[in-house]
Amino acid sequence: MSKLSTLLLNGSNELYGILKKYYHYLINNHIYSEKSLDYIFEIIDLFEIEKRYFELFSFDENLKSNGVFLPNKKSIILNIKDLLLAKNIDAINIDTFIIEYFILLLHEINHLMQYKYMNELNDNISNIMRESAILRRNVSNIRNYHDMFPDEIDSHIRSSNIVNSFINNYCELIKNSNISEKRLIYFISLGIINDKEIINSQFDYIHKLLLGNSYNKSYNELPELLHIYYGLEKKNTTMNKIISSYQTQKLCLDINERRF
Amino acid sequence: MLAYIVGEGPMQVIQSNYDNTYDVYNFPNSFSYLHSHIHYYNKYQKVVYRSLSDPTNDSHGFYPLDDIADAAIQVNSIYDFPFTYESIRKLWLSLLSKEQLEELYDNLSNNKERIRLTRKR
Repeated sequence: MSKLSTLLLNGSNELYGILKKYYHYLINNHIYSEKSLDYIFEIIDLFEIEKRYFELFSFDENLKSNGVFLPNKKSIILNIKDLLLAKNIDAINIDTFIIEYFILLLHEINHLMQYKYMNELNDNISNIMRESAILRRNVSNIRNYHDMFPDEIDSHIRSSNIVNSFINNYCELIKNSNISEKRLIYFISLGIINDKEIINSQFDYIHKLLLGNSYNKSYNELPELLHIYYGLEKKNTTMNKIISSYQTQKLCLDINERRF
Repeated sequence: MLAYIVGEGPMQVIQSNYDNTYDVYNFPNSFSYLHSHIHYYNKYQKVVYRSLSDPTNDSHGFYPLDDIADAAIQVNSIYDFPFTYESIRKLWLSLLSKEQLEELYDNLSNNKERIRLTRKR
């Protein structure tokens, strides 16, 4: 893989190959197993993440959230208790369970990669990550605004985009499922469409909310796709496509980063 | 579980209140069942689920009058779009207590020990 693809979470044939093996394993085996951990480390190793960023992975049902990356402890922790519960009472089937689990796992791996990116590069994306971290310090109840932060939007969309591509192109067993596409649309429109208004830029919205002013840096030079990934101001055509996706539940815009 | 009640398609839920009034909702899919049953299982005198593609499929032996059925409120929230764990979880957490969830989980899981499985690089 190229250097950039080891700094940003992107789909690749190698990654899809591991996800496919892991998917087949999970169909018949328990997620809490040594072999399961082996697959997780295989995925993380694909992105050449050094030991100074990551050492430890845990499943922990006492965790207060579904997942977390802790930079100081160099660890990722997932809590899939609720997800297992949903599967156990047949509220979701095994395919949905695996889709949701893969999205959660890749979401936290993306936070790890964001941290690495922020430490190794100094560009617009790392600036956005730093600003996002500063904004977080200004909010006491993070849960209310959690999905509006650029690092969260990026992790939501990247993880679900990869899983959607995996389902559509690499996993014949659940090829006809539209769950992953719906999930991607859910994340693309999250924070943009709510009961009261349509928000063009989630980043600007929380900036005003928490600091009382708009963010002053222009990110015009970033590709429009990254304006979606990081919750920046978007063109009207982009917003129309996002709203169309929300209304039709079909992906009405190309979310694939390789075009840029 | 949900398929036993209304199949996969759009559904109508009629919630009969104790004062003999009704709340009627149409949902795009059967996952919306969670909206009425798991959360409010003691709140209503009777809850009826009808498949809108086969309205006679009444699981509780109660056939609502047309004016009741026609008064349905169409529910189209973002929670009805994705058949996802996250949407279901949000509804659970908002309407079931942590203790109720814990109990439900323990009853369904043979492993009452809290899992902590770790691997170091």
